[in-house]
Amino acid sequence: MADVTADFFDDLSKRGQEPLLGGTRTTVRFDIDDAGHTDRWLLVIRDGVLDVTHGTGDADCVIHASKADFDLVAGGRRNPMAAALRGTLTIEGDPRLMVRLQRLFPDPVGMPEVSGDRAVGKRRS
Amino acid sequence: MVANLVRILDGNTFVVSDERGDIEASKTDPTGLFSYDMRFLSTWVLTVNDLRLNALSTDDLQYFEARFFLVPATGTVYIDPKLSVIRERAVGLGFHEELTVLSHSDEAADLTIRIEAAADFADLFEVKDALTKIGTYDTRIDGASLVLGYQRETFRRETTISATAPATADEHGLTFKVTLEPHGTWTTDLNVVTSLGGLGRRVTETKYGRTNRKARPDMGKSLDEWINDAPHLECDWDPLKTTYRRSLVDLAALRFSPLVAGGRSLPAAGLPWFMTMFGRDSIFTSLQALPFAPELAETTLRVLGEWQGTRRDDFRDEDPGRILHEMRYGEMAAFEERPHTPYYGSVDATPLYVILLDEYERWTGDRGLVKDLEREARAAINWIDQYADLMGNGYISYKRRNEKTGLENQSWKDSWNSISYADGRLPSFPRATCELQGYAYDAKLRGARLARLVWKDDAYADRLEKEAADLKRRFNRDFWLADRGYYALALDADGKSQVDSLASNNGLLLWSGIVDANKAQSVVDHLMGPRMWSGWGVRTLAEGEGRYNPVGYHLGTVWPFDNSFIAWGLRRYGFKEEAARIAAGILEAAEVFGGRLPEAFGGYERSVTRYPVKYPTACSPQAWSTGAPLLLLRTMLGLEPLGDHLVVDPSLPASIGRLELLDIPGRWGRQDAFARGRVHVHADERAKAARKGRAHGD
Repeated sequence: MADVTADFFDDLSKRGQEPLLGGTRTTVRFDIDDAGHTDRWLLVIRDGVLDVTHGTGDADCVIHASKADFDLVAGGRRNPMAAALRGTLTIEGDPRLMVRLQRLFPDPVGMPEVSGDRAVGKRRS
Repeated sequence: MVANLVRILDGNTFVVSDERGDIEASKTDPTGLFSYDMRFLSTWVLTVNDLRLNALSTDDLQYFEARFFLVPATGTVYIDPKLSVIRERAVGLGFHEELTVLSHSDEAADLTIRIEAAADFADLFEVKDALTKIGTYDTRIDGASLVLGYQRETFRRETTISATAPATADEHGLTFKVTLEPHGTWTTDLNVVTSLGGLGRRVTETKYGRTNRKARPDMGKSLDEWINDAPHLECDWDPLKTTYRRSLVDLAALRFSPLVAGGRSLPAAGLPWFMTMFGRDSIFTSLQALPFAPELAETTLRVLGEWQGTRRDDFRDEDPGRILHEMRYGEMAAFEERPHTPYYGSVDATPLYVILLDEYERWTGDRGLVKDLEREARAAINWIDQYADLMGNGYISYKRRNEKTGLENQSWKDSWNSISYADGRLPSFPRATCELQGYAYDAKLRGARLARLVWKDDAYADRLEKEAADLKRRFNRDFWLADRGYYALALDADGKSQVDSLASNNGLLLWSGIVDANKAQSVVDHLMGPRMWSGWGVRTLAEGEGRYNPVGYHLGTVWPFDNSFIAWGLRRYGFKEEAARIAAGILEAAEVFGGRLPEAFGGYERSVTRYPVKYPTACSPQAWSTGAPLLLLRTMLGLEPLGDHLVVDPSLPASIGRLELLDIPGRWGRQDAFARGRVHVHADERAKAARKGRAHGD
């Protein structure tokens, strides 16, 4: 099975430049809990230029999630802000950064993940 | 029961109680302690010896605090109460309540004082729609504190209730056993702390305490500083002073500091249900308030820019470049049962964003912000042609992609039947309402100005000007109803059929400048004619149209916000006296409402009802109604930035007399404006309206 999270960071490192983050300068660490260990990714953003390393380091902001939950967001199956409101994705640091970082995640695919029978909306994928 | 509710708030945390200070919410009842769009207390009832209390008086001291004077219910006025109770409540990160019991007896008394508490953790949307909850509730006694919790997967909300006096906590509240000495006093502080698991910082105490009650908006200025920084108004007509003061205070209360604003504030849409970011409402209110509090516009632009759409998301009706409609933080948004994280289903906010950015620069000279937001402004302009032209006919139109929980009507008249033909038929979707095209025109011209001035991109400016000119030419051909002498309300889904009813949207067209100079007089005659002009203001829909109803939400009511922009439009085209008539009508209505204009009032003919009939809505104050008197001051004084100067060109109703607005902030520093009322607005109005030979705008 493809590793959605690893693919997401791989894609970021290949992207190099993200115009939507022009003017943004920050370092973000993603701490992803996976089967008892924490996988860390460090993203340095310099005026829209992205530099991704698989490892740890000092960061202005730390985003924390389980592997399963991060897979949903990284795969466009859950909106990042909704994940933050739910508590599956937590942010240490300036919450404004979360709004910026949303721009890195892919367009949504498929139906939103919902519990119970109150599913809403339909999406063209 | 909506009468006599007491509302206090701090940002998006608010308490709605009865006049005793008690909360007894049913599932659909809009009372309680709310924060981040969830209800953290649905029961909060005070008893003394198992008896409820009666209110003697209630004061809302400031927007964040209230005081309740109570006595036990004796059943008759002939028995003097032996004690009285004072509750002083201040909201912020939950609320703080000082409870004081005073004895009026010569004998000591043993009292059981109890606060009954419960939380249903209803989402605001659930309060409106009476839905059932999916998660589970838990209750914990933690020493003398009561903790009420709600859990759904990882979603956690908690209310912690504690007191400073010795108390016994049980699962339904706190009890105090008190011996009150003759003429003695007993007091305690009750703290209700709201916490959001994982979201924002951890909260352990309320914002206000017993020794700590000076207003501390999260957003920079205190109320005093806010009032002091605004221009000072003097005039002969006292009601205007009252209305002006009320508007400033209400605007202060409506300031909202969203999670991402870094402590700065923007105007939320309305109290209490719309204490959140609304693209349209925040932009319109910021425009109205520009000459008075330009910092609101700056925050609105920055925050809406942060949240600007970047992808295609049908559930949220999101597109790249689109400006959000509404943001919510509650459970249903979190679980994507509602699309508000944020929802983008507004079709006017995006061009209005560019209009606000330009107008802000014209007033403040702050080119730094224009530079900072270049990408956002260009993306907004790009959205107009790339994503909003659903019919491929060169016009903005709307049709929701989220058909279950998205909005059908995505312009300001958002009720289901607001857009209709003269015979009452409803057009299909997509719909291209006329004012949207005006906004697109204005946004492109203003974008061109900013491109030349700040972004140094003449080629882009040329292109935008050419597109705007082309749009104006096509619009005046495709929307104009030559036989009626006004613009169609919309084009139907075929992209051609003119939705032919006469509506106030024509006034917004004047504001945008898209109206051909030779058509303006005819438009104005309709707006100020007997079918549209009620005597208080311009109706949303003309009398005689198929769906006209003087108390229909957008079908004939008069909206102060709408009228303030129509007055601006009239000034733009040189119709100074008509603008003064609108200002006089709306401000006279404000006098009847004690200075606080409702969202809308009935479209009844003024001479028939004599006073304006308030349209019942849940929110008061409403931001863009609060902003209406401010914009009307601007239009009456004819305030207009010209280079680094402020031009003053008054057209003031005679009934106002002398008017001074001192220390108007802007790129000129501070400047004063003076005017004397010379326009006799109630003299033979129709003869005046018909008078020809006006100067025309543009």
